[in-house]
Amino acid sequence: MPDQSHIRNFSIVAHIDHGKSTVADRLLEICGAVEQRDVTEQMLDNMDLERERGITIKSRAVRMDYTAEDGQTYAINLIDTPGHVDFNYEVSRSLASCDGAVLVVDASQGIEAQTLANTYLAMEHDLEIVPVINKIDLPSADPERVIREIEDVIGIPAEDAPKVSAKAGTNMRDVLEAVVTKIPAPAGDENAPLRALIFDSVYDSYKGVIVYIRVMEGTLKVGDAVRMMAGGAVFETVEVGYLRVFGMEKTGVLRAGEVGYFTAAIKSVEDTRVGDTVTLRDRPAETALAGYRKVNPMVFCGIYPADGARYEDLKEALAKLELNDAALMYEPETSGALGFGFRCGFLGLLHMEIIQERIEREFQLDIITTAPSVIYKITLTDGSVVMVDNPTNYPDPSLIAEASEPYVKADVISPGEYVGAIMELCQQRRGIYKNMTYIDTDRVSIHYELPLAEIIYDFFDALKSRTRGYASFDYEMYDYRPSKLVKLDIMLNGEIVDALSFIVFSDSAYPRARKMAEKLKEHIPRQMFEIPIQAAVGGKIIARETVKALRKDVLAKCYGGDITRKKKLLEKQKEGKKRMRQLGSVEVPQEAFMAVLKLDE
Amino acid sequence: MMLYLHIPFCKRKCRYCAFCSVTEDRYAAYAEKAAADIAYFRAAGLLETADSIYIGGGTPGALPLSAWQTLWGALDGVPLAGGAEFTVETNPESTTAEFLAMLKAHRVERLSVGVQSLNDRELAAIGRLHDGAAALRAIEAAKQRGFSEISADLIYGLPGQTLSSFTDSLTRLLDAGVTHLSCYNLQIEKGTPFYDDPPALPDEDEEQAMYDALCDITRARGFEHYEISNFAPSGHRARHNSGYWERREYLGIGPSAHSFFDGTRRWQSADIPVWLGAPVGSFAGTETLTPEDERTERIMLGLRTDRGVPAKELSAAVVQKYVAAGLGEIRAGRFVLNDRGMLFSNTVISDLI
Repeated sequence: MPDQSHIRNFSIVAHIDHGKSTVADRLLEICGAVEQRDVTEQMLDNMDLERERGITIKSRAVRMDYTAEDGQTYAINLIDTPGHVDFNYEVSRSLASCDGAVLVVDASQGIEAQTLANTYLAMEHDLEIVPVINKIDLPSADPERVIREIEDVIGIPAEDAPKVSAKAGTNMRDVLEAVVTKIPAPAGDENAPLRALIFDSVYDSYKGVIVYIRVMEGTLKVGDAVRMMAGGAVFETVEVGYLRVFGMEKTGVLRAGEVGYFTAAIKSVEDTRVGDTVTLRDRPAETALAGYRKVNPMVFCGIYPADGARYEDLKEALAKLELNDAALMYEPETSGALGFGFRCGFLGLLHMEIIQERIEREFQLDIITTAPSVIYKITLTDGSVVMVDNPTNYPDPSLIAEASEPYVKADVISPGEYVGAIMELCQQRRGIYKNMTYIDTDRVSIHYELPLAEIIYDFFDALKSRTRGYASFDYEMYDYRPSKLVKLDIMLNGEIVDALSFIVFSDSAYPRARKMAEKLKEHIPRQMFEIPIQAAVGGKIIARETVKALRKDVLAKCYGGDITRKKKLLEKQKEGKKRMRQLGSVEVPQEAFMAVLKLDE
Repeated sequence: MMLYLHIPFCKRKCRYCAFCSVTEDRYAAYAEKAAADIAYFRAAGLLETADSIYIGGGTPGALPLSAWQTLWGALDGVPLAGGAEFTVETNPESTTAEFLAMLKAHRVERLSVGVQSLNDRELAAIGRLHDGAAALRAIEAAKQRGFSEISADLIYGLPGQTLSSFTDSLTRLLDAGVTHLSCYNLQIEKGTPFYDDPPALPDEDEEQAMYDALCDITRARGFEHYEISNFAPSGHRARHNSGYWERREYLGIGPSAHSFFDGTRRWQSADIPVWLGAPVGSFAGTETLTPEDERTERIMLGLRTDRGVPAKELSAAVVQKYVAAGLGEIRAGRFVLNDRGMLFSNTVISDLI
């Protein structure tokens, strides 16, 4: 076991697709943590979904041994961080476990919104930032410009930044040298009462929860009775050790400065929340480490099984996902239109999409989701305050004294030529312009305050299409502001379809209602009677479309040669019918519920 | 066993037609192969007697008389069961005195005439080779020649057709003394000229009015609406075609012809060169029916007709739903669709199978 002077704990921060995972892979290779032949692309990301999206969803950590040019061997802990704003809190806890951060910047693209957001987050934790210029092998690479950018915008020296190509394996050793020489060694007292920071935890069906920790002070041993200082739960450790690329190495002990894991037959990640401090039951620390908070979902939607008979399967899927995801919330919900399902809460849109995809992919369940909603803060005339995340629970307007909605601080970075388009988009989405700064002669960083509700509807897609994909975007929660809100109901054949109701800014109600009605008309097939589609606010119809009555549905001819083919046609029609939801007298295809979530297409 | 013989030739292909037909002349080779197939199945014991014979197309009248002689060589020996129906399809322009005399000489008692419309503009728009007057002449000639049953085909929803032009065709046709009417709604099918180059068609309201008029006028003349597209006075229903809807067994010979016997549906190749080269008595494909398939067929075929389907075989709730919606009724323990119900028969059937 090395002394603290031979330990380095760091993270890699980067904008999405600037090469963070490839850099990590190369570092692991150099340290022999993994044989070349075993390298699968981007091994730190070990969920399929992560690999496909090129992003890291959950953090992981790995310990490797590096023999530096000074001849000494260092224990280097690389703590991977989620790269997306939805997981900002997890990122901050991972960073809090480190003493430094390697900032990877693409040599042709330069600084982007997430680069900045994550760098600032790292600086808030007093981490030593080690800039690295990646992708120098690209024809469009301009490392000198990017170095100037880092110095100008972030304000850290970047003169000596390693210039590397992780893809080609060029100069990668320079990165490890910089880690060893620039990032400070940890300096906690291993004899003090234990304080270890939980930066991640995963559920394992054999060992129970595996808790990833950085020991700040004190020592943790197998058999110790530990207590979660915020959560309060007490456990006896079963395994203690290091995290290696291919699993866990039992060492029986972790000392101040080290990163590793413990298990204690813990049944749910609920008990080992990220950010909590682990201490010893019998010799507790006086104060917990700073920065813990319970993360709260920001975005909610209903999730229903497409086939109502699979409700129990959906319940089981959510329960399994929850074992590994303390941020996922769900509770049973009943919809007149969709039957039995769940109201689910997520950290953000990406988190929501990930969960939806995992349910479909890992549990082979077809699901129907309802429009995502933020949490509205409603002050009633009697002075009480209710938080509403489900349109169904929106109070009667006559009882509302004031309605507020959540706002975010958003930062858009883009080439200067798209400023007009970006500002137009942000204005449309009720953004409040704050300021604009130039990153270099060509690129600007634009700051807006935006209602969260405007972002959860395809804001990112709209931004990308208006800037040909050049703009990057990041946001953080800010505050609640009074707003003019209304609940919009959709009626089919005169009956309200609860699953299609949503809360909307009143000035947007009319255009949204019209689009919604048009989309539904497109997706609801003609039936034997005329179907009025109406959108209403407080009982007042503000948009209407009509699905005309079907006049005939018949095969005119059916003789000896037609029977086999026509039988197949009718069977197909029957299958199509199975995918329909019966809402009162109207049959609505499941696609219709999904289509109305994409109103801007 | 019923026998169907498909004659895949036409003088010209109509613009709405998706049936198996060609205009090239492979007449002799066709007739020899068809005759050989008939002989084969007779020898195999499948055609000891025919409960009905139906020769369709294509345009049977497009086949030269020499080729017919080859066919008769095989057909004349097929014994007809008592009361059996023997039908040949014909188009007005090929319904010559000579053709009628030949049919009459070979036991044919029923003609099905492809009239489609009596309006010359409508007939031209769909690419027919005859005009309205020729159609009426053909019917008159058949009556004169002593055919006991004369059926006519009519189409509603044709390009340029109006409610009044349709009812005009319909009433004149009934006045001409046909004993049976098949009246189809024009359907634009894949692979037809109309599919690739869609014509302007009557709007839905007009088409609906035509269907209503069709049901009303035929009923007033004593015709029963006994199948979605078929109407006849009592005692004049098409027995061969009814056999299809009642799931009776049949042997089909000719390109694309289907057969149904021993619980299996089989078919010969629709590709004429392939069909000509296929071994005598062979089929290109088969479908063995599961009990579920049989149930589906009973429902989908039964609900096409005024016999309906025994209600006890169906979901009572679904039946009740459609009875309440005014699409049908329970008659003597059978669920039967009415005029309006037949227009939505796919909706009803797909809900019941």
